[in-house]
This record gives sequence, C-alpha cells and structure tokens, in this order.
Amino acid sequence: MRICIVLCFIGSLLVGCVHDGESKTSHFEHDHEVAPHWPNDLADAAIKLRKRLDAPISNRSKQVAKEIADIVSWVPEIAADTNLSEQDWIPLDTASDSLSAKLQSTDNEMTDECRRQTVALCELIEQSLDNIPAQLPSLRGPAS
Amino acid sequence: MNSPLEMLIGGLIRVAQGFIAAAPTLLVGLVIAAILRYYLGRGGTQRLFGGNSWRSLPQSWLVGMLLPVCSIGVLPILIQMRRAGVKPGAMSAFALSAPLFNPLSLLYGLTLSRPLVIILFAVGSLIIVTALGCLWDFLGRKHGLAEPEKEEFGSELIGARRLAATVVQMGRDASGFPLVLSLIALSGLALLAAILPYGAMQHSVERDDPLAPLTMLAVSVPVYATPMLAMSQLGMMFQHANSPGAAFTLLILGTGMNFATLFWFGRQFGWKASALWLSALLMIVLGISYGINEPLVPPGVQPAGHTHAFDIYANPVHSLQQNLWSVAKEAISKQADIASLISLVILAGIGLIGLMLRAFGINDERLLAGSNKTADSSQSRRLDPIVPRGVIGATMLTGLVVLSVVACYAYYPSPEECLDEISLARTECLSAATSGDKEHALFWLPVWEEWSRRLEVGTLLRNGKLRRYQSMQGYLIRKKLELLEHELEHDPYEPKEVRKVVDSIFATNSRWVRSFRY
Repeated sequence: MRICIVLCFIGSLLVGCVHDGESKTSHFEHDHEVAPHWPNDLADAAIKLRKRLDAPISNRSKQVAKEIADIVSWVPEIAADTNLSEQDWIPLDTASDSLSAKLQSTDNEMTDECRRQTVALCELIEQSLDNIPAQLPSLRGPAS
Repeated sequence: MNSPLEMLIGGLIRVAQGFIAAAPTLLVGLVIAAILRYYLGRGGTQRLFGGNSWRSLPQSWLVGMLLPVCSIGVLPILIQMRRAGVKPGAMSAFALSAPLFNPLSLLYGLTLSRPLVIILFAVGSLIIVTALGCLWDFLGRKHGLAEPEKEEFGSELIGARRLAATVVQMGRDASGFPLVLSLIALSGLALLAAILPYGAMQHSVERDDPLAPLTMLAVSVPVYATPMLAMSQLGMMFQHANSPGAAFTLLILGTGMNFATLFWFGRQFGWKASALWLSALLMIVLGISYGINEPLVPPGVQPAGHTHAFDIYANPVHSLQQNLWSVAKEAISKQADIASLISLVILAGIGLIGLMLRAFGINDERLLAGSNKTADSSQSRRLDPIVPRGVIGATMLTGLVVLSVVACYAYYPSPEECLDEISLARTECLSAATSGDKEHALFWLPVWEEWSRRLEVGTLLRNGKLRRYQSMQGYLIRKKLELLEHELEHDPYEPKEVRKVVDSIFATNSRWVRSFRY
C-alpha cells in the first residue's frame, strides 16, 4: 500500500498539480495544434512536397526530411477530406502508405527510390485533382 | 492545487461515477463467483483454471479474456478461486487479464487503430501474466503461498436449495467483503481527484514526451477503469497521436488492476510477496511500454497537442465553478446509462437481501441442513436424474460467454440502425450548435461520437472488415466533432467560427454516411 502512495505522489509531481495562476474564462482554451507545414488542401500537399524535394541537397536538413515524411503520411487524410470518390482515393492511400513505410525504414533519408516514389505521389495527387467533383454525386440535382 | 472542498467533492463524485460504471461487471462477477462455488465446486474450478498443468497460466488468461468482468468484478471471483485452491500464478493471470478485454471491448478495440496494435496489446498482456504467474508460482513453492481449502463445500446441495444458496452467496457478497474491496478500489479514483486538479492530464502523455509511459504508470496504479472506458480512452489516444506506450500502460494497469487487487493479494499472500509481484509487474509493463512506444506510433496522425481522454481521472470540479451540487449532479447523471442503472437496482436488491440474511443469521450452511434428505429422495426417481453440478456450472459459464457474444450484436447494431441514430444525433447537435444552444449541442455531440464507433464495430462484426476509406472518414468526423466541441466551449461564443466548423462537418458527414450506405 505504501508503494501505491509513493507512486501516486510521484504521479502528482510528474503531471503537475499546480495552476498557472492566470484566471481563465474557459478550460477548453487549448485548440488543436496545427503543424506549420500542414497543407491547406490536396493541391497544396503536392506543391509543398515538390518545394521540399527541389531544395538543394546541401540545404536539406533533417527537419525538411521529417516534413516530407509528415506530408506524405497526411495525404490520405487530406484526400479523404475532399469529394474524391473512394475509388480515386485508394491509389493515393496505397501510394502514401507504401512511401511512408519506406521512409520510416530509412529514417526519413531521401534515397533515390524514395525520391522517385515521392515524385510519383505528387503526380498522382495532381492527376486526382481533376477527379474531384464540386459536389458529391448524390447531392446533385436531377440532370436536365 | 485543489482546495480541500474541491478535493472532497471531486473525490466523492469520482467514487460515485466509478461505482455506477462498475455495477454491471460487478454483478457479473458476483454471478460467476456463485457459479464457481456451488456449481463448479473445488475440482471444477481448478480444472477451469488449468489445475497443476503447464496450461494453467495461458488457460487462466484465456478464461479471463472471455468473461465480461472488470477489475472490481474480478474480486469476488478471486475469493472463490482462493477458496477452491487454484494456484496463485493462475489467480494472478486471471486477475490481470479478465478486466483487460471482453468480447465487447475487444471488438471496439479492433476498430480503433490498426487491428495489429490491439492484437499486440493482447499478446503483451499474455507475456505479462505468464511472467508474473511464473514468479507467483515460484514464490508459492518457496514460501508456501497456496493453502487450498481441503473440504469440498455445498456438493450436497441440489435443485431449489442450490439456487437459494446461490442467491444467499450473492447477497452476502454484495453486502460484505467484496463491497468493502470495491470501495477500496474506488478510493484510488478519489485519491487521484484530490491530487490532480481539473484538466491536469491534458498535456501529460504526448507522443514525443519520453516521460509519457512513466507518467501514465504512476497514474494508472490507483486508476479504476472498465474495459470499455479504457478502450474509448485508447481510441482518443490514437486519435490524438498520444504515446502508444502510455496507452499500453493504461490498459494493463488502469484496467487490469486497482488498489483492491493489491490489497487482496497482500492480505492473502503477504505484503512482501505482493510488493515483489507489483514491482515485477511495473517493471515488465514499463519495459514493454518503452519498447513499443516508437514502433506503434500511428502513421499519418498529427498530434493534437493535448487530450481530454484523462480528464476523468482528474478533479471534476474546477475553480470557476460555484455551484458544486449542480456539477456533481451533472457528472453523475452523465455516467448513469440504462445498463448501469438496471445493474445498480439489482445490486441494491441483492445487497438488501444480503443484509437481511445477515440480520437473521442465515447463511449457506443453514441451507445444507436437510439437503442430504433431498438428495436421497431424488436418487429414487429414475426419470428425474440428478445432472452433475459441474455440467450445470460449465453450461452456465459457457452461456455467459455466449450471451456476451450475443450482446455484441445488440450493443453494436446493424449499420442501417446506427445511421438512423446518427441522423437524429446530427440534427440535434448541429441545429443546436448553429442556434447557439451550447448545452444541447454538447449533450448530443458525444452521443454522435459514440454511435460513430458503434457504426464501425457493427460493420466489422457483420461484414468481417472495415474499409480503410470508411475508417478514415470516421476518423475525420470525430476529429471535426472535437473541433466543434472546442468551439462550443470557447467563451464567448463565436458564431462565425462555429458555422465554419459545422459546414465542414456537413461535408465530411455526407462522405462518411455514403461510405457506409454504398
């Protein structure tokens, strides 16, 4: 039992049991953090990827490599947040998944193979943009 | 820091919430304990948990995975296992694994992240219970921890007398030592509520925080969580890209054990041996947590920077709230769903019976008197043979497992039914949000979220798979619902921002619903 008490005490120290002293009007003031390199939309994802790929190798830091890996892994979510059909979404998801796994295995190092795949993913995104309908088919009015 | 009044009120609220949450699984635990005592008996109980064979540890783990109990519901069962002389290692394996998963929570878990993650968590739990069981059995041999009861009890009871004995047993448990153990278990929640101020855990288990598994380790020991609560928290952790190691720690320690587990083991087997058991458990859990922390990070999920998943372990009262009574009433009424209320009423009923039996000095030994006569007269009736009690007990336990599988279909209805419920929740939530009725919107928002999970599990259950696209749309809708919750909680209310999120939710909802309709 004493062990439990000690653990709880340690827990309280770790998680912190102090207020920050400022008066708050809401306890939900923390909005979700959005990464600075989060793309605005699907087209922006391809632009951001290409921009980072085109950076001179000497300037390509670990941070840039991580950003490329991040954007690649976000592509399925960003694509799913458009009106792209499931059939058109699947290739993007598969390509992103495969590239993410490869980048993870190389610790985000941009090998020739990874670079080729990233370029291919950008091209796939750009092709997919033409397939995004303005509205979902079921929401369209009857054809006149 | 919490004021003394906030500590007291917050602690009491958490104890009340915990008791309500535990009611259904505690009731199941009492039933199983009575079945072990009067139907399976000593021999049957030992066989159920693998006896003295090498199978005892994995078999106890498997039995634990199948029976729908929580870490409080497991306590009356442990008492009967001890009485039946089950090996300490098997008891340890069962005590830890039974609360972790049951058919309902396992199905829920499989849709939370990659199914592999939950399968790995289950395998991790098997490794832990096997290692601890071996240690416990070793200590048992060395220090003679196992002292099984020599005499079989209640084997003469049959028919109505045995049923009556079952009710007596449940009544006495519901008003006796297992009730005390339940309160000890819930005292952990009160302690946490006293120590942790409102929202203190919101930033404590971030993915990149190397201390996250350690922090969760310290918090999880006093935590009591039902399997479904732990699974929903795991879901939120995956959604927010929190530390997978911390998630594993929460599952094993928060769900698998509580203060009463430690108290009971200490009382039965000695405090020194129990301290060794706990230390080994903490070390193994911590080792596995740090081992899986990197590899199990969900790909493609952006960390949200904070989470409300663990607000339930901190104090529910914050400094801005003046009317503590209304806070308590709201917090407790949110917890009281229909299943919990029914279970509470039944528990209260059998607890009352137990108290009356105690007052009149009636126990199961009184029921034994005259039972031999009943048995003798029954033997003379050839067309009314006595079914061996082990057969009845095994049938009842199998029935319980089958019932929990059937319950999965009721709890996770067909996609069509889920979509109807979602349609209702969506209309209520979004119309209230856009018209500024924050309270109404915040009432329906978690209902919608809950049905989104049931939709996914119901689909998986009936179709055998959940498509990646469906899963992604579900992730998006829950992410946006949480954004809406944040907007609604902002003070002052910002109609333009709310409208923006609502429009985005409408678009995602159309895609999400379509993916399940076609």
